[in-house]
Amino acid sequence: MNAGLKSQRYFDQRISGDTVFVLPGHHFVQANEATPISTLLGSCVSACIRDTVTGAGGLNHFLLPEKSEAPDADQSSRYGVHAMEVLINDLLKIGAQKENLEAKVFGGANVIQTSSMETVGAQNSEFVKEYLRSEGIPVLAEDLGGSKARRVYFFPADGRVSVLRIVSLGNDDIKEKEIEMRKRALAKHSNGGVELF
Amino acid sequence: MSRILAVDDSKPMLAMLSSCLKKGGHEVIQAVDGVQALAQLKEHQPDMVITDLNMPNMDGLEFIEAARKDPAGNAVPILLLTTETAQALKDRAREVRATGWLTKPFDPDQILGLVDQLS
Repeated sequence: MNAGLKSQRYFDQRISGDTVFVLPGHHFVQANEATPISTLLGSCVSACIRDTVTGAGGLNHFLLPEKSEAPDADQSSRYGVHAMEVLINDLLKIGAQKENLEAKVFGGANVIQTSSMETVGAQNSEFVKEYLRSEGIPVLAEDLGGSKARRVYFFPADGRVSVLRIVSLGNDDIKEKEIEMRKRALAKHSNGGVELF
Repeated sequence: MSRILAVDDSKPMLAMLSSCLKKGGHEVIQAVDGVQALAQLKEHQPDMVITDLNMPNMDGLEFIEAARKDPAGNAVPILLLTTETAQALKDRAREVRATGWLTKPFDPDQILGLVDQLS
């Protein structure tokens, strides 16, 4: 069983096999399957989380909204809390147990060098580590920060992760997408629906 | 000022919801699952309850169902705050007499507005 949104399965020549690619702002989980889940990270971060017993696993891809547009820190981190919660909830729905979860975290590069985005990668990195610490989910490995974007392949069945640093692919493309995503994130996610019965 | 029982198994989420309610001047009591929430409900008699749906031991719907059978929880407004959006779950929430359904991520102003309106 698979769950999640906006994920594309395709044949990836870099690994000579199929992969499920997760777009920014989305997540994907799967039961014990050999197919790796992948994503492309600049300043964004990704938590790769798996159940060590069942082999179910998944990853998300998110970044915190621009703080200047958020009235306080709470509102900025609210978006990250949501991104982590939907990933963990979907893992629990396919049979994962919270006490069996372990994580590896990636991304948070400083691909965006403008003054307002200088610390975006670091903020995202700190957030994801603090969240997992608070939830009591052990972080087995991390590859955060630096100046290069990363292509991440996560194999939930055995927990393996391959990280490719992106050198040739222009950071500009990723940067533009992330700036836009960051501006949209707050507006898009500030209002959940309300229904009174 | 109201006394609000906040229920969520995610510590970061519970901390964030509590912080929002405290900033609105409310007293907050916490619980991490339905079992604990039921005990807190009886002990503290809150003016309102905001609960997650997916939780271990006793989920949000089971908690509401049990709370409605208890004098302490029969009439208190209980809002579900969840990432779920399925109509079948909302129908079930109505059946067990939940007061309302909020989809995460929550808007702090909206939550505080609902507390003023309902508690």
